[in-house]
Amino acid sequence: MSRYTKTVPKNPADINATLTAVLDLIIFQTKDGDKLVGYQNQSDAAVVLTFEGD
Amino acid sequence: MFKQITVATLVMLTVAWICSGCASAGKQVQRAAKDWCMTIRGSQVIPVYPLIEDIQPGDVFLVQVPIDQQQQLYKDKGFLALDNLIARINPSGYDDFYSHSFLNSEATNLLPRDWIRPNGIGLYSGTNGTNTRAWQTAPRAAFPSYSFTVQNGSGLSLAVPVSGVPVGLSLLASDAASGTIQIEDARTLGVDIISLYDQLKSWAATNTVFLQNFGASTEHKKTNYLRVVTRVYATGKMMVSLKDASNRSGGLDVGVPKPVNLLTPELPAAATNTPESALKNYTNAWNVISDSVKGASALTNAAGQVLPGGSLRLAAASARTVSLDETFDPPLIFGYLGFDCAINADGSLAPPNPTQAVLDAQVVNDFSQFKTNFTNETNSFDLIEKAYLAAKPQRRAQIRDQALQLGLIEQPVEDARFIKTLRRTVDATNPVIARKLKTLAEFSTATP
Repeated sequence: MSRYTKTVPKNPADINATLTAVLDLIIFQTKDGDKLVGYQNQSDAAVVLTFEGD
Repeated sequence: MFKQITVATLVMLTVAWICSGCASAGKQVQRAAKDWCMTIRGSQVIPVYPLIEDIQPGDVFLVQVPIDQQQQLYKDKGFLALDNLIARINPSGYDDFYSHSFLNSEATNLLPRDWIRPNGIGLYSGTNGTNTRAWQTAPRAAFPSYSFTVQNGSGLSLAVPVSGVPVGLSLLASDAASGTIQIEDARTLGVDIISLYDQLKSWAATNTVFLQNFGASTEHKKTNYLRVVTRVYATGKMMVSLKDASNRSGGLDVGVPKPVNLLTPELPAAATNTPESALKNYTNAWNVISDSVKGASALTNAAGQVLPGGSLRLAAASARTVSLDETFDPPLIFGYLGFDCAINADGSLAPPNPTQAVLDAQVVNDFSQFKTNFTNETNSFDLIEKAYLAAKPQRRAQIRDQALQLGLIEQPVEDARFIKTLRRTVDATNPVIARKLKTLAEFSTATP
């Protein structure tokens, strides 16, 4: 199993834009079977997503 | 006949080339606007362009440009268009804001009217306002004077949209210029964000139906904003001093090109000697042309015959100074501060963010960069994936090898795992990855 993280900077003035960026990244990274297994919603500036795959 | 047409064409083309500085007037005007706005922005004030009297705290604008595009527009144009004024709130917080400092306790204080138009009247009659006390009781502000010098033909780095200077400095398209400008008699008027935000929420509650039209929906990713002005800056006087020397030369070659030297203009030292400067520049230009003619006749073949062909050159030179003290009576607003509120889907408003902070925030820049990188990287990845899956085993091995050399994968991977491994390297926070993926995409799609 391989585990890795990806970071999405937040746009504090546009929550929708941040959410869209996070979802786009999840869709892209899970196309070959990797799974989203965790996340950190950092209050200051970013969302860190953790993926796992074989 | 043919010769006449050729000469006529040469002359027309040459004149057109010389006048090409005038052909880009639209761009020069835009440049004038941007130069001006960048100057105001340097003072941490969001520029108003053009300068206007009728903007005040409480003005509510509808902003329909995404925040990252706003940043790009702000960067490209230097200012944000304020064209969708949807409401004018009368701030109720002036009294609390100024009562213990600038308000006269023995007079009526209906702001902003009593500061902009004391006694309620004031007409602009073409040269000076009739109400000489306009803005006089408002708090003062000061901006540093600045000067500039340029010495090339590509245009100036600064321009001033002041009516006393009929065209912005950029419009002069000068080869050499210097000058100074000073914003004087600056005044300011403002109100606190909290009281204005409370009033904005009350206004929004009574206009929910209208705001719902602009709320962020799930189908449309676009977010709209309300921008509310909290402070304005006005100027009553501008002092401008310009020295300009310009020349133009141009030409066209037919046959063997002949040598032509360009000109270096000389700035007038003062207003009294501009004719001398113009004459000197013109004389220099004439000498340069004479040298060109001599150089042309020197180009001969082995038999001493002048080589066929011709070169046409025209030159023009001028010098001038402009010095003025321009008074704005009544004063004009040249900058503002404010806050932005995103409009939610139900027509309610998100918390306020200072406009300046939104436009300059590093986190917003990071996000904007992330979006750009993500689009570029996924586009490159899609190209690589498509090319890789369509390639024969030998070509696939070359692509994998190239990815290894670029450092996109750490170690050799088998054919079936390459795309999955490469997908994990996509990192939109890292512009280096974006460049490497682009290189690999170009390699993958190239014919082997």
